[in-house]
Amino acid sequence: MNAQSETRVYINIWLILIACTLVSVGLTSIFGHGLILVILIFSIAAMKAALVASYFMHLKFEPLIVWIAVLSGLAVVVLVLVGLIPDIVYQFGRITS
Amino acid sequence: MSSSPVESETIGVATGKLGMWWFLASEVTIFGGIIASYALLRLHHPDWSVAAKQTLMPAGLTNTLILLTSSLTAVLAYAAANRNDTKRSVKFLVATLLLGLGFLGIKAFEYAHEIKAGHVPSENLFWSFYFFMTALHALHVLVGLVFIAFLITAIEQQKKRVEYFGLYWHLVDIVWIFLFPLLYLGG
Repeated sequence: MNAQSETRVYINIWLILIACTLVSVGLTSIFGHGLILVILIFSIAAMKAALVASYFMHLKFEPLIVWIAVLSGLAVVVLVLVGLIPDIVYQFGRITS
Repeated sequence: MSSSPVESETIGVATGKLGMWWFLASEVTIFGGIIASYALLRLHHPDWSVAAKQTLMPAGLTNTLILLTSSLTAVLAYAAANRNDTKRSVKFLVATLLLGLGFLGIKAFEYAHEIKAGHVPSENLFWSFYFFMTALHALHVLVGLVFIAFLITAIEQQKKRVEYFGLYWHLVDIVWIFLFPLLYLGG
């Protein structure tokens, strides 16, 4: 890829990230709250994070050993999340909303 | 013997870069753990949405746009360094530095505004999380700025490290991508 087309790809990704941010804010302003909105907003956030990781961090071009590092970090987060659930349910009772 | 630890490679990737990825993985566990705790506790605290409405959303949005733009300038600095265009790389690193300073300036303004309004970490759990998460993130931004200043002063010797800096900076951006909706868009 030459310098110009590489720059164009980065600028396009940046424009998508900016647009996604504005869409999230717009959706919150229009709909206020609700489970579907929360799911939508965090799906957009996850997509933005994936775009940054894939294109700006070049993760999609990295070898398996780098993916192992990244997935190990994410696996610990999932373990923390699962480990916290019993404690939170015990302390606060049933999940209410 | 390899010429330098930065240049040596193992399993198809530079060891310095692999080390940076493992460091970032540890950062993911730190921020991910805190965000997971916040999300689970949030399920029991519908009232946090009221508290979250008291954060300065326009400031949070501005900072989001600033960090996303700084990620663009960071990757353009890397692309230029990769093509041995040192001058252009420094230009984008300086832009990233200025955007990072802008982010911290707005964050400082927010803290001053919130503390003046009586919101302190001891007020309730939401504000404890808010101050802890954003301060920890701001500390990472500050470390990133020191990293950039270090790179700019000796760019010729550290072209490879522009990539490592970029990886770190993009992770700081990703963390903010999640903090913004959690803390500003209704909690």
